[in-house]
Amino acid sequence: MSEKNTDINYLTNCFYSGKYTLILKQLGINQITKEHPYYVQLSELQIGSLVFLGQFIEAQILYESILKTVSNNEFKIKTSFYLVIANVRLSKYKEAKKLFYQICYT
Amino acid sequence: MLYLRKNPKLDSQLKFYIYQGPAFFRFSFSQFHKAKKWGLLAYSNSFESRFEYGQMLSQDLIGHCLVQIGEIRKGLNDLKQALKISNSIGNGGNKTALIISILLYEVQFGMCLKSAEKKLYQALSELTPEDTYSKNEIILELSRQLVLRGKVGQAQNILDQNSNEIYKFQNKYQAAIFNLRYANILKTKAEPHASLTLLRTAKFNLDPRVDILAYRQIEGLEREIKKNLNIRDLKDETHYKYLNFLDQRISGRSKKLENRLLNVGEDPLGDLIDKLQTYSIENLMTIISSQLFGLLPKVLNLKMSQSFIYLGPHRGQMLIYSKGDAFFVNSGVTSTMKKLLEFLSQKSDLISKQDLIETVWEYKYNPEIHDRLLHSTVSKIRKIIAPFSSWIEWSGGSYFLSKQILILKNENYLTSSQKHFRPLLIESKLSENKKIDSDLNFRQIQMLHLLEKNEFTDISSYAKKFKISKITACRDLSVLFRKHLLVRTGKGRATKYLRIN
Repeated sequence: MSEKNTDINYLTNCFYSGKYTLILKQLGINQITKEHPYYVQLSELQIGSLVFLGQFIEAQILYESILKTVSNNEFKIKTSFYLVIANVRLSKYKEAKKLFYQICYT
Repeated sequence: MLYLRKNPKLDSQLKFYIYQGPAFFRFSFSQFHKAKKWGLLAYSNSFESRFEYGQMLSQDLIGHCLVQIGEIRKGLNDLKQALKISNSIGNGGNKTALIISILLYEVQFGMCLKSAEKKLYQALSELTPEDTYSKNEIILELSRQLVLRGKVGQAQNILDQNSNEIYKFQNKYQAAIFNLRYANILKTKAEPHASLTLLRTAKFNLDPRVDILAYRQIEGLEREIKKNLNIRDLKDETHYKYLNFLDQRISGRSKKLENRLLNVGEDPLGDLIDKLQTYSIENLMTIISSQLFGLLPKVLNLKMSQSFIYLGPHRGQMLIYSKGDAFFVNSGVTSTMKKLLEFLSQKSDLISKQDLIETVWEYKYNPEIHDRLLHSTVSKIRKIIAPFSSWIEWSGGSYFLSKQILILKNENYLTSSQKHFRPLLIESKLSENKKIDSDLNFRQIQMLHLLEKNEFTDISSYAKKFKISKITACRDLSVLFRKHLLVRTGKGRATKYLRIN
């Protein structure tokens, strides 16, 4: 089995190139170990990829579970942005509105 | 923006996310001006931090906002810029989405009027199976374009084939638009009640405070159908009260939109639809050249569900329309064919062959030669109007046009009187010895002439003479026998037919 590449620069570039499937292949859809030095940043990429691939429920669950241990504003802003997209696509406007306020008034 | 106020020296890239999120949210609530404002802030921050991914996303959103507020060309330009960035960073997913968005806008606003259908089919074939969202968007626009082009049957087929996928995707907006498109098709096919049911479902899928433009379209179609059906009950009144309130909001918004859209040229298809409201040969020619046959009922001031044949606009041409399906015959329609169709449409009761020949051709009727003429002309017309050949029916020894079909023509285009027909009876070159029953066919008449010379016939020789089957021969001779024009002698194979003096 090939080893997973969790290099943050490589995965960030993959994300911006729209290679969301590749990111999930490397990171999986489950929560990354908190010991990872780039745990927060990788989780952001993970949630973003899940959203752009239409796996909204998984993205939401992951976001909520990470939020229990992380109080990083940058994380909240970025992931809220992805989840606003997810909720609007599902026409869940109330949820989108909550996240919208979260972005604005973090 | 509490967080921004607290941290003014925040990284520009993070600022991008702070602005882009609300921009997207406002956009989804049809607040396009606000969304554009936030989008521009997001763009400037992503530009500042050289964050190309952010530039692409914000320019994409700004482009969509500009299109929605009526600055279509400007918006398309922004979308094309976003496409360039997505190419440079190699973001394949966004690239496809942007290409589809640009195509859909170009088609929706008529910037590629003639090639729209082809382009949509091509885009559909190039999509990957996972790209369900884009596929659904194309299907919904394609069905709209097909209806506009007078291909309702094809539009219905496409929606039928893709209904499962559209519902499965769980996008309420797309599901509502699907119902709206289908309701419009059913309305065209004269099924208003089914159409209303679908519109109710469509409304159920939408939030009137969010999907304002789509909701407005649904309301518009619903009201139109209800008006035609004269439906108004207590429930509806309360419902309308609420809607009137809502309409004010919408009309305020739409006024803004309309003011922008007054900029002629931004929306060529919209401009064309606005222009094609009244009857004129020029408008009909525009419909033909742009192939927007779905607009024919509007120009001819008819209901969408009305079936008709328009005898024009020029010599040799004909437009045929049946419940949303239309086609244009560019040449080959003779003036006699047109005259025949017009005459058939004017008579509510059965017209004899004699009447038809004497009025349309202006010949004195002689079944021996004129029956063939009539049959072959009708046959040619049936070939021309092929899918609707059953409109011209044969019964009781003559032709008639199905009652629900209207025949229209250029001058004073709705045929309401027979004043254009002044039959001039011209003596046929062939002698007419006796008054012959016009219900008889040419074989029977010819046989009567032959039998006058004290000849007799039987089924086999009759069939052989006219190269027909024995069953047809038997039927022909039986008619002559029942009309007391022939006597029958013998039984079985020995049956002979003789002329009565």
